[in-house]
Amino acid sequence: MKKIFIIILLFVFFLHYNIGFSQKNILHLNILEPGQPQLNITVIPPIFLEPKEDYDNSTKELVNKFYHIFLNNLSYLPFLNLINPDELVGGKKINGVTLRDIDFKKFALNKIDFLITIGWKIIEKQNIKIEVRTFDVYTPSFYLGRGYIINKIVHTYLAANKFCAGFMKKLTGKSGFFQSKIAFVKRLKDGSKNLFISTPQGYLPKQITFLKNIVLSPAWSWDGKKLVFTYLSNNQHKLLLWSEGHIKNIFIPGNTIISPNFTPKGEIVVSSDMKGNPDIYLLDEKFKIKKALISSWAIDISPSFDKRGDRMAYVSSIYGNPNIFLYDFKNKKTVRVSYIGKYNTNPCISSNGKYIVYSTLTEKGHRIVLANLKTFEEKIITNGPGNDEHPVFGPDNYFIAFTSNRSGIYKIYITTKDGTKPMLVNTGDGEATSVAWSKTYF
Amino acid sequence: MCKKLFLQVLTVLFVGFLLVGCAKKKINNYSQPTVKENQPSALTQEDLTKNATSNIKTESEETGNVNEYAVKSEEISSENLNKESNKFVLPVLPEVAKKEIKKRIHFAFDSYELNDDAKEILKKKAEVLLKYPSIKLVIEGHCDERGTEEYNLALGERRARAAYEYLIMLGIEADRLSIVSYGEERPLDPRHNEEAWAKNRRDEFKIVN
Repeated sequence: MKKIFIIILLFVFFLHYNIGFSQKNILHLNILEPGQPQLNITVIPPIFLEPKEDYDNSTKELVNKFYHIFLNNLSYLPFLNLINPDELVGGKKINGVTLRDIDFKKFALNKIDFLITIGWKIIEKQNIKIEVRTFDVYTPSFYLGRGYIINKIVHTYLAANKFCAGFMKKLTGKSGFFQSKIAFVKRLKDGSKNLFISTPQGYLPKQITFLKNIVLSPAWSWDGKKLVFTYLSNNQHKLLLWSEGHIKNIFIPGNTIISPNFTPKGEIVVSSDMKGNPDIYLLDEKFKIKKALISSWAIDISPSFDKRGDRMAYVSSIYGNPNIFLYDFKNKKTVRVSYIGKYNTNPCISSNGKYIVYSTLTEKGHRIVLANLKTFEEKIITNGPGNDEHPVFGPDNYFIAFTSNRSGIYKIYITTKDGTKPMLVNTGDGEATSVAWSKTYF
Repeated sequence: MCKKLFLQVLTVLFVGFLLVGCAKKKINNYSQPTVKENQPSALTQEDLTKNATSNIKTESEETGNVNEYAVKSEEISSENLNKESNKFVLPVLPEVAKKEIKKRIHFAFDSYELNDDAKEILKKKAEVLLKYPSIKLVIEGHCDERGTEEYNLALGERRARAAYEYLIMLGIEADRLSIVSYGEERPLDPRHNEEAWAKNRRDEFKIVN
């Protein structure tokens, strides 16, 4: 009896040790904490998996398109250092795409942490099967693998995004970047400004409004199904609500409609001058004024809510210049957040309520500031040149999108709360501004 | 005597009938433009929503292609809005008065305070407005590009309102004035220097019929 007990005990210990060991081997990054290492990653160009290379150019082009989108996706992740496989000592050649086909020593000597292989073959009805595998070079072990069947360009974007979402989820616990959408305002050739939706990298853009005048300040509902925005037409401001292809004109009193947004409950909050000053109002589900949230003699605009809806960041000029304030609905107290500079606007509170990003006017132009709501420390996280404005958190509270005219024309860029090198979002020709990042995953 | 009285009564009735007829005509003439203007205050939210959504046709409805995002709805409303801009027809005014009305006022950075020059210009505008009581004005508030979009929209409102309130103080009826802010969206000078910014921080005054 005693023997059996000891055997069971040893077995449990062995099992626990093995699980613990394997867990330690899984690479994981906590991107929300500072000081994370940058991992070296290389992606070997796609390998055709059939013995006889029998395919046309358009098929090969589709696979290459997938490869380039895949590389572009990885370039948005600042915790990965993308190594060109052509620069590897000993070359990039591998015998196949699976674990047993690869000599990992060569990649380990090149200090590669992750190796990604892409294999492809043609299956019936002109479909292409793409297999993507990620390996941890040092263990060496299989890390993540996925297969996709594609036959047109749009599939290459979707497949690359899906894999990168899975990879990021496994590595960091967060997949938001590749599963979210951004909305932005684009100036068109006729001078109008209209609303577009795309992935955060600018893929698959779609124009969703076709108005003759100016769209401003779009904001997503928390479920990602609606967008509310200001429409500046001739001599009139309008509050418009886009929902699944339909636009509603919401009439509220006042001449000036500024910075509408949604509460987590789905109610609309907007700044209107109905009493002579821009004050912040909450609308009910029938779009009637429910109550004033912030009302003063000064300018009160740009409300932004955390996920619980307990706290609201906003801009007020109550001390003469515009500054960022935080209102706590529970204890009904307001605290001033911004002390850098004299012109602080465009606040966005992270959904976890830990940070606010906003833009501050410096001698060299606007810059993005990250304020820690626990310590109330403020840190400038962008460095221009030109103006960096209108920052918004991504749904993971890690990435931040903002607009900048650093290239001479306003475009959208993506950085992180750590101020990593901004990446341009490809929105095509023309000015792109007023970026809004969905708070949910699609 | 009786005949005289009868004639007097008949005359009074006839005059009364005429007056009632004229009054009716006046009411009709007055009520027509009110309906045409379609004032938002006269409509309920439901009406507005119905109007907005009834104009909507998704691309899928028009072309048969399924496109979950594309909307052509507001093209119709935009056309209506463009028609609205044709309402701005200058009434017959002497050139001097027109020039006075068109004069812009300018502001300091991040300020909506009326300086002495602006007050002088507004006083002269008030004189014209008092002389020509049929004139109605839209006051447009504008900003330079240095501020941020949303705050500039608010600042433009304050600039337009500053002129609006000053004109009311000078005796102009509030219902002859309206305000709109364009923020930084309609710069007068597209350059990116102090000279251009100073020009762009302004109120413009447009006559509306």
